[in-house]
Amino acid sequence: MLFHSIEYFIFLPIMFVLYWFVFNKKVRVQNALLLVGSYYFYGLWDWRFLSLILLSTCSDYLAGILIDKYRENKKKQKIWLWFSVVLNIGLLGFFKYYNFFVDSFVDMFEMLGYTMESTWTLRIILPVGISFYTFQTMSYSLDVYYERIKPSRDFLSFATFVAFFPQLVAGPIERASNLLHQITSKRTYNYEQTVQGLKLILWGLFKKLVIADGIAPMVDDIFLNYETHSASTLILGVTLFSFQVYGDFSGYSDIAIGTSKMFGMELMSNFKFPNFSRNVAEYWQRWHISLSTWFRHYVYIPLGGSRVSKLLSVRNICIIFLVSGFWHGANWTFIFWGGFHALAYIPVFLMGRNTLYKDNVVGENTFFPTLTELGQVLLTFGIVTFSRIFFRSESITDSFQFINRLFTEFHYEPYVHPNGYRLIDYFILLAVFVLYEYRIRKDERNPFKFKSKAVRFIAYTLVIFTMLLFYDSGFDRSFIYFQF
Amino acid sequence: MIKLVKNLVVYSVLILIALEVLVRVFHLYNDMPERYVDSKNINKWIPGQTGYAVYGNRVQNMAEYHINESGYNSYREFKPTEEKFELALIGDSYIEGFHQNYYSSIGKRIEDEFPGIEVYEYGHSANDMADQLYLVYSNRELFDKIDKIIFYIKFENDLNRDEYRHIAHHPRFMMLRKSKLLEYAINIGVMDPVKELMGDIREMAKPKEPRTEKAPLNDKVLEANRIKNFDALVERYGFDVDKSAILLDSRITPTAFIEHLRDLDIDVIDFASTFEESGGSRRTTLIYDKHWNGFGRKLISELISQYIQEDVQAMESK
Repeated sequence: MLFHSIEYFIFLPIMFVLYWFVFNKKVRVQNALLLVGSYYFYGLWDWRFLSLILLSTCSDYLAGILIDKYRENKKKQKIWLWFSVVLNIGLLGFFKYYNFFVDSFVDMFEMLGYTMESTWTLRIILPVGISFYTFQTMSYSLDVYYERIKPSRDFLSFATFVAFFPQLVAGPIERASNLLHQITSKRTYNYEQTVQGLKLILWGLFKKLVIADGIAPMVDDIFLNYETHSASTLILGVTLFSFQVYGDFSGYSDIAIGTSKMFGMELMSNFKFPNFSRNVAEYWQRWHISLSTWFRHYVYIPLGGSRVSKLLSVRNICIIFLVSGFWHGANWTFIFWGGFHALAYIPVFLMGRNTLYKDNVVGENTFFPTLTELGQVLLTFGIVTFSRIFFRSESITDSFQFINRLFTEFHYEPYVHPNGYRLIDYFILLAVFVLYEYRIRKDERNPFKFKSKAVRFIAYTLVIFTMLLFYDSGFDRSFIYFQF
Repeated sequence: MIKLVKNLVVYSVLILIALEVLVRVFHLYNDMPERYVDSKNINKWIPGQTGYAVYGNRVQNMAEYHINESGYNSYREFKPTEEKFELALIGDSYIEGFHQNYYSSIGKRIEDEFPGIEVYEYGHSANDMADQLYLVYSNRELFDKIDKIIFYIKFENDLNRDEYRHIAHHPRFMMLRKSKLLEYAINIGVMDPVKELMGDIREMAKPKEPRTEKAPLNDKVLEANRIKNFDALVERYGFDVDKSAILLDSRITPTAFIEHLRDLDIDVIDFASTFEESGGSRRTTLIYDKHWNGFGRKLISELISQYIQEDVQAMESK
């Protein structure tokens, strides 16, 4: 079930009413409703893969209890931790990476002069959300192991934590220390929280339906036919893709956070206006935050983080970016994308500027950014956008040919929208979107912060009107991050 | 909860009203004219209606229409006489021309290129060959005065029946369509998921019947059936070979049918090569639609003018 489908707009109010006004007497009953609703939500994609969620849930629930039980026996404790890690990575590895490894193995032999016929690849469907929920359950076992949390003894709550439908298929990847205790605690209906949730859902829908889906046909057209376009069109394509992927994923996250608020739960922020970052390090503090923090906590810091020598720190940076790239998909393009970001991050790290903008935003005390800030933002946006060539291309060869054309076909050509729409509409739309996001850049969880009711009403109307203006019924409207 | 419901209702109503106003102010909606069924059981537009046909979101295409006394979209009335030279163009939405201003239709272009001629555009959306031949058959007195008739057909769509039967059009949500917001939402596909859901629910509510699957007909059988339908229609309603011609696109028409027309001594105006030489469908059709754009219509009108010219010259030389 997609967040912007009619099914969801029937499912959500029914769940909401049942949750707060029918099954509101006991937390356990509310959790049971959430669990059944979450399994139904997921099962509409493919009910067979519910078994994987159940397997991951049961094994990590058990692992958590046993890790805690063998607190005095480090060896046994480690065995159960490895049980959790291997099982989750194994699920991910089989469903997501098996064919990639087989193909890469065959390619490697071919490069060495041996011809092999690949008969080992399998027809595997990638279960939606597997990268997200395996990481979430794995983080639980790790947190229990490192004694950051107590293991859950309530299977129902734990299963709800794993399958909580707003964030099940594309995050934010929650940590048990934030979400699990909310699930086990008594919730009371809060009007303000619900309204905030609804506002976030509206804003998320706008980002998805207008920004992401509005420009998607152009991006698809340009990347599909990049061999026929000049640099001007390719730059347009990759820049638009930068907005598309942001609108798509942050829109999804906003709807997820907004929906959770309606059920009295606060998920972590996943995006904090990454397009206004002043360097690549700040970008990674603002883009897909739940994944970045996951890698920081469970990979980077255990490897020594930045508390080791510069050389080892650089190695650690390379590792987390390459792993992060690989997490996105079984394709060399994502590994190159991760590698490119590592290369962009390392100079910032070596100059000691990686935590410089951790607690402030561009134009912190003024409305307009300074010229230096503007330059930094544009440069960072340019670097990140360039990296998106790897992210969006079908293969690594396509990526390099795309880049090659950027330099060899460096001239302007007019571009025509594949469906005949006026391009200027999209430029105006993006300009207004960027300006509005700049205005609200300090609070990503409150997109319609207007004191006046009349202004709020105008804002809601304009947002919905724009959705109607840019709605495109002939476009496949799935979320980009579902494929990861 | 009461506060939430109350505020949601108030905001929703106010927003819907505001959106209705915005859709009307920016004329995003399609002013579709209303239909009626004439005494001969033929679908027509109620005469005298004027308005703007709007397609696509953000007014991608906006064209003015004018329904004449005969119930067709045209700048002129259809009053043939023995003295003048009249040409009837009969077809579906391509001839109806809601994608162009009525005063620059194909017929008007032909008239501009060929002074003295009057072109009557009998176009009505979704009309097929049965509709077209029945129209001529049931209005014989009128068409007897018309000097030339050109039928526009698409083989795959227009020859699927061998007899005319009136098909009533029942657009969905008719009452609600008074709302221009809903009209716009339907046109751009926002309501498609609702329609699909309603269809699914209806399907689920139906008692399950054992499915008797028919094997799909292959292309050759379909082609033969369509040619047979054409013959049956000609047999039933007549086809004046001397003053009629068929406009078609040979890129999407089987050679067997074109040869069959030639065997019957029916003139064929084929615009395939003209369109191809002029840059293909990307230049001749609307990008978001399959209908001809201004350039495509220009080519069609030139082709028809040329055909008429040659035909008149041939008649004079006889």
